[in-house]
Amino acid sequence: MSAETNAHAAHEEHEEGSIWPAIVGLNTVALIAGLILLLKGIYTTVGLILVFYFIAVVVVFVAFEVRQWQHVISSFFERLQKTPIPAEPEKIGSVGFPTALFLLTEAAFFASAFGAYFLIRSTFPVWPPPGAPHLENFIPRIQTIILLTSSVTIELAVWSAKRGNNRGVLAGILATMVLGIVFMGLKLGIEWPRLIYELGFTPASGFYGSSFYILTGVHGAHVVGGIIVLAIAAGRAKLGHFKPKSHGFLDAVSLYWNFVDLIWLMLFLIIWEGAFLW
Amino acid sequence: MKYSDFAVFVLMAGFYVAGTAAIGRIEVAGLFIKPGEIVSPLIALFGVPALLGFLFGQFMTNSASPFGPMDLITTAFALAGLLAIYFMRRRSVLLGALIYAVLTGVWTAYLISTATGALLSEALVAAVGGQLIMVIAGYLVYSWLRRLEPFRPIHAQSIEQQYSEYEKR
Repeated sequence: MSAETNAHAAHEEHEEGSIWPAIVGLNTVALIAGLILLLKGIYTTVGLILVFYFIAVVVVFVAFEVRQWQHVISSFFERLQKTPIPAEPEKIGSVGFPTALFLLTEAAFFASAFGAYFLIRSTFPVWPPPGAPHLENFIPRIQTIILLTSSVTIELAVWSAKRGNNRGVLAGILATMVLGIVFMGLKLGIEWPRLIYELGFTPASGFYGSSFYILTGVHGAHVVGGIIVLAIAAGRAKLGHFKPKSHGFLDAVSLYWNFVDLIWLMLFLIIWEGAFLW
Repeated sequence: MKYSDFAVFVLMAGFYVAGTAAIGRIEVAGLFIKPGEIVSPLIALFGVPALLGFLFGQFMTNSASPFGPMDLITTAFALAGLLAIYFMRRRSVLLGALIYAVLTGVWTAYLISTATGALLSEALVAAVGGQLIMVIAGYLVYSWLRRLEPFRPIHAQSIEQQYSEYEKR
């Protein structure tokens, strides 16, 4: 084997066996510690340093590693095509164990968040507590319809992938992204500023305020995460990675997005429509 | 579990919640209309995941019902009606949908008369009438969707053809 081939193989091995996920994962400890120190006002300076340290790690990660992803994925597909028995690189159809495990952790997370909300709510004789502002449900109603439409568009993308229509895949993903951005725009651009600046309803407005912002904020963070993953899926769709029998990543993205939609339906009914409030 | 099953589950739940809670219950000419009910005949097209999604959406929506916790029992009547649609999907989807409308409509009428003190006969007209309008509209949507490419039963037909050819051999 020539020196050049050896170097190429070592390069590919390095790309697929990256240490970066472990580094970023471990450094989230610094982020959480920094946020606790910062928000609790224990050591503000140390907290800030830890938060910025984490941001620096992410910047380095993006600068050195993320930009290679396109090459890594492309070379992976190229090598698969050269194998004697053509393999399917991405499992489709059934939900795989890692995806199911991820979904279970998400379900457990939101179950505990809803559980905490109901537990706090049960300790109050009246809910919402006296003095709390009336939450208008006009924007959440629109948001419900937007997220539902986005679930349809992501399924259209999956449907297009099954038929080898790459333009349809890209259009479906981009439409879903736009709807997700509009959803967040309504929340961060109209609803929250109105609640905070006009009604004075902040996370510090008692249990009602804190539970409202935690639940809707965590959901919003999941929507943002979904938009980022959709952007990656759009990039891959542009490179023509999704084939009728190989689009497992797109399937997983659609599963995640639908899950986020399902959580919103429950949030909408529990927070704005007063579900189980008898 | 298939990816598509979860998508169908969420979409059915979403359409019910959006149709009933986000758009809201409507009263037209004395009829009690829940727009979300329009998707009920689609159970015939999407099967068990759709049935479960519909029930989940309905249960969650009814937990915020103005008629109180008794409206949660509606899900049991809906299950019976949806099973009628599901098991009659090869014979007559419309008949199954009408059974669903009558079952849920009669129960809702009883609920309305109990909660509001309205006459049962008036509540029957309002609830059953509203449900009938929605399931007939839903049946039209179902008939339209079946003609679209994603939902055309070409695969089932080809499998049957293959089987008959195999039998001949």
